[in-house]
Amino acid sequence: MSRRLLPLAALALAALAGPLVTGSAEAPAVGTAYAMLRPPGARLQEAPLAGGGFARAGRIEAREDGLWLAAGVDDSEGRLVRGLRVAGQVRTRRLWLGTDAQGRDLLARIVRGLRTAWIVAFVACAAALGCGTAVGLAAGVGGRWTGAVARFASDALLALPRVLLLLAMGLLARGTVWGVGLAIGGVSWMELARITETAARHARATGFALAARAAGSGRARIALRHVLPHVAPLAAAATPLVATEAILLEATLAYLGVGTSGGWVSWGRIIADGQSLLPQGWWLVVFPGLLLCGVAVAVQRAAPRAPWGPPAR
Amino acid sequence: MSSTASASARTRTPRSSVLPRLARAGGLLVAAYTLCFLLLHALPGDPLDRLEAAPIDAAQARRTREALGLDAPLPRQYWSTLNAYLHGELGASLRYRRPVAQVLAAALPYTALLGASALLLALGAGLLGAAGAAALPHPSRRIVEIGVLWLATAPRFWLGLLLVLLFADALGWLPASHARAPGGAGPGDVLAHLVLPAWTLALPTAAVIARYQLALLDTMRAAPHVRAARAAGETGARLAWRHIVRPSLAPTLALLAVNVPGLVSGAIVVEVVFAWPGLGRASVEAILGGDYPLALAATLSSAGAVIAGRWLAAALERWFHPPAFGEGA
Repeated sequence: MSRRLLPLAALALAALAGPLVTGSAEAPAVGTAYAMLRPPGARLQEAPLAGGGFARAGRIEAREDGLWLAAGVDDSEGRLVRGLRVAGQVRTRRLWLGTDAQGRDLLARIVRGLRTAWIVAFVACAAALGCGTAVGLAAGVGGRWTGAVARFASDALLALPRVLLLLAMGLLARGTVWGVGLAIGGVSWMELARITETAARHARATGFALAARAAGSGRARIALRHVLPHVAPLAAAATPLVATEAILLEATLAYLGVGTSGGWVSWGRIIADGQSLLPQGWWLVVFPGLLLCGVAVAVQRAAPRAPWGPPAR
Repeated sequence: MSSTASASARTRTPRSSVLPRLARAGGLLVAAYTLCFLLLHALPGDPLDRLEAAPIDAAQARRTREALGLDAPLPRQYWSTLNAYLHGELGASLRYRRPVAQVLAAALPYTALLGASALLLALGAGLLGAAGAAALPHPSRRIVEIGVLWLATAPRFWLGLLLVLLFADALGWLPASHARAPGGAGPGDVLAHLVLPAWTLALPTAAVIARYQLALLDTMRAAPHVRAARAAGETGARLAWRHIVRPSLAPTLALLAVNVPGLVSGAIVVEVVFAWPGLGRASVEAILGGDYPLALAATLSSAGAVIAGRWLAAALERWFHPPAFGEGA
């Protein structure tokens, strides 16, 4: 495998395997009612209790007759308990990235966010590729009016601020991960259409396209058989840019409060929640953003320079 | 036969006269209006719910609907709103209970200030940064390049929060948000509040410009015309400016023109992050809050800003375009 693809492969693996390793992203790691916002690297003690079950402990005291739980949260019921006897080995778990205001493990949430980002980017890329190539072909190969309408549509969409357009479409998506992906694809196909249009104009003027026209092929046939194979590599080369943009837009949408909901954790939402806890909860802002940038850079670096050349003449 | 084919394959020639451009801009605005209108009316929720009035009975609700023109069929609402817009009437905001024009007029100076300062900062920092990086020796230059790449991809809302964390929370040099203080703010206060949002808006664009300009400078330095000029005895600042920097400005300004829509979108997010009382924040709140008249007008003014910004950047580009590059002479 190419070295340029390695970071991307590692991130994909993390999105797939990460949730299995990190534990729950929804249940609080640190219990309710007890110092829930924990800094990165905080230790979390899990103390087995004498009566069965165990508690996530805040404080454990050593007395003459053994270990006693000074304060902790009952794991099964999630309520604050104190003054219970600890039976057995106290385990220590590290919360490497700390917790959020609800006491949820930030590492587990960030890993879930990676999965959301991948799926949204994939759906958005597919939608943008389909839409952009179709409109670009229509503008480049279609008749005078088809071309004018296609160009005008993409220009009108480009004039509207992408964030506002996306905000409205995101509201229509109602928080589903597919809807958000489609909405992002729906606002990012315009550049692809422009690239496709320019390439299609050039391909249309080549000898073999003219020959096909002279032999009686219709516009649609020329577009699909003779122009599309020349346009596809360019569109494919532009796709990583669309994916990068999609990941950033997904986070921005979630930051503005219209992102994915349900179990689909989004980095933008984590950062927005962290903003209200600044400066104490700095880790909630810094870490998701760093990973966001890292993914964007990795996707860009993995961009193929020439994925497959135009077909041999 | 082949000559007509190659002529049709060529890209459109740039139009120079003003009238067709104005007509096209008008057409784009109408198309943008249509799109916004349809999208806003497709959104879930009833605008009456947003009025935050006391609970009203059915008859009252009907009267309010009639007064706001919400009971008319969609095509008629479309035409009447378009007609009102063409006569300069933007309607009343549901949330602020004021004419939309007043709300926009209060917000516009803030957005213009933010946008203009960010544009200047992006251009200045990008060009100076590229010039500085071009002068660096190899290992440190590579580090700067990687940093610039990360900066270019950083989402603006995150970058803004990092700057707040550093300069407002940790160092305490600058205020973080809320430019319009309730106590009435003087111009100095507004400027102090401007620094962080303007840099947040400018930095990613500056990074994109710097990357591009750096690559251009590298190619220019090795270009034959520079060797020729050097052979002819030109040295130092004159050589650098006339043969390396100035010819590289036109493509960079073209890049800036491409980035104008991104800058407008970025400004919207930055205004939300810093609670900057501009157009972008007003439009986001209007869309999220179902304030249709304000959302429509604010979105369309942003579209106007995008179109005008593209014009401005294109004009700048023509200004810097050296005749050696082609169509002149």
